[in-house]
Amino acid sequence: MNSKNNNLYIFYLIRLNPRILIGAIIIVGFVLCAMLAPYVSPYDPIKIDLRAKYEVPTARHLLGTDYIGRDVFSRLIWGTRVSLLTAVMAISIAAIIGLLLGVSAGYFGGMTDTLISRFIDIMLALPAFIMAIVLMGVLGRGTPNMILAIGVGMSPRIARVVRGATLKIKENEFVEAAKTFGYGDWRIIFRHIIPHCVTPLVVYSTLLLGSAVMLEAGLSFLGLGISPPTPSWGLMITEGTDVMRTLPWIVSTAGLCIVILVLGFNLLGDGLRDHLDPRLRGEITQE
Amino acid sequence: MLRYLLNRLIQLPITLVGLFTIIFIIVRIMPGDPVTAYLGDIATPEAIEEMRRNFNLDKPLIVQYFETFTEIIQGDFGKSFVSGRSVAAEIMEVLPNTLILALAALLISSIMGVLAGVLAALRIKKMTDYIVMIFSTLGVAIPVFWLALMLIYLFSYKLDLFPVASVTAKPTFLAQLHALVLPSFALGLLFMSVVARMTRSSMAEVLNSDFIRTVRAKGATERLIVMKHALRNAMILIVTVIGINSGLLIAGAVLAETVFVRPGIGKLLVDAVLSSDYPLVQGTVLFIGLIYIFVNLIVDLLYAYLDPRIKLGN
Repeated sequence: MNSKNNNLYIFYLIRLNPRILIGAIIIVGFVLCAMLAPYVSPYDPIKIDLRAKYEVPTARHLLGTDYIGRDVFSRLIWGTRVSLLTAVMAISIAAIIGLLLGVSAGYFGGMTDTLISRFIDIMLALPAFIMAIVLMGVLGRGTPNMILAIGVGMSPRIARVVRGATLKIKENEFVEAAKTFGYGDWRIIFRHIIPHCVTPLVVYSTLLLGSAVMLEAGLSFLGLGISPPTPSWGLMITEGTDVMRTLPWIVSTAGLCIVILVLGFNLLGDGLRDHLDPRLRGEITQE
Repeated sequence: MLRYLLNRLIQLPITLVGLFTIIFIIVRIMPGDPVTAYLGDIATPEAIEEMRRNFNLDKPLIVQYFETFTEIIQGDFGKSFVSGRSVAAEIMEVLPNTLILALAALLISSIMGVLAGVLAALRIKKMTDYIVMIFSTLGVAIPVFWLALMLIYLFSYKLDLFPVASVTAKPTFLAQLHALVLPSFALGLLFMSVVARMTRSSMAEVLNSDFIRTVRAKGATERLIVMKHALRNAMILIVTVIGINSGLLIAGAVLAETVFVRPGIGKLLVDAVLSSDYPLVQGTVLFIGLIYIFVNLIVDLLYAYLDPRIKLGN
């Protein structure tokens, strides 16, 4: 396919499947918000102003202020950066680990496969959130630790999908041909197998990005994730719970942001999956 | 069938041992000395030494591994740092609460989810289908703890229909049920959405299959088709989905219990992690893993039972 055909295909794809379109719009919207945060947000999100505690929404503070006088609206905007960055970094880690484990298990088979598959099964014996909680308990609170915890927690899922894809690709003749040429194993893996893993990997990773955002929110809510004063939507919910009766907008808007962002990733991932390989429907589901 | 059962049963202890190993490794690589962290200001060298001896922390790691392993086999999960009571006792005390909550959520969500999915499949591509699909797509994106808080705000604060705190001092059965409504709904919505989607797609697939077309050609009523044939076939996938996603309930229980201040395994785990009470963390995580593995085993067996292909040995 030359590039001209590629462009037409993408536009056709987007128009045909509304989910991809809506999902993409949502994500692009959030990404723009994150990138333009310094210009769009009216206040510094971590600036404390104890004279302006718990203000109701006014023209000056669109969503009021929180318990130490920080502007809620600004914190929401900057929180976009936090959510997007942590999710992307965590899933990148998960993808790298998962890819390596998956192709190794799928390609080499035998003992390697058995060991890795066992390991994956055991890691999947715990729900991802629980695993993340335990890892955070071990590593201690903080953003880099959380990214690592979520990444490690998600990698077995990716490994499993990659392994499945590798097994399918391995059966192709060009792999056998490459081996006959005398190409080394890792060269075959990198040049032939991995490129074909990209499609399911990308689809699954998009769905996992939504899960990563949820995990980050949940961990931060429990106090095991992002440490203050960095604005995180999950953390804002915790902080807003005490005053939920009188100032419900802190909790509601922060939560709404989470919902819309996760929705965006889910729609995009579902749409991509349905279009790129509908057969994957049974295997790849959002957790 | 029997061979399949045996196969699964043999795999079970291996997975459990593997789980224990991984958790042991994770928990023991805790940076910083948990004893010093726990004792804090009163950390005299003698106190540290005594605590380490009490909890077997002064022996080399391998020895600790085997000793803990043998203890766990015999049901001794060690003693909590914080409360001093045995970990097993702590877990057992709160376990019923979590089980009640999880079962309530499971029951409600499974039934409603399947109903919604079937309805959507029967009226596929029409309005009902779209409504169900939109709701379930939203449902999957809503965080449990936020939903719980929003429900509390709406139904407890504004409308005063349900209580906030879930376990009261002198609970009557009705009061307990009353207090169970909000948490199980918060917990169950995500699950319900997933179940609805999968039910819809598997029902739709079955309804389109040749075999249903044959039954229809034979003149069976629509109701018979749906109730007897289609549902039976779709059940296999539905049961699998319920089983696989039961982990969502366990994970969500952590958040629901925290928000509704219900004592339960989830809350126990979080509190243990927050106070670096690592025997308790170890024991609780192990137990949660056990439950999850066990549920998966039951689902696998049920699946094998429902799918005649596996039942008859393929």
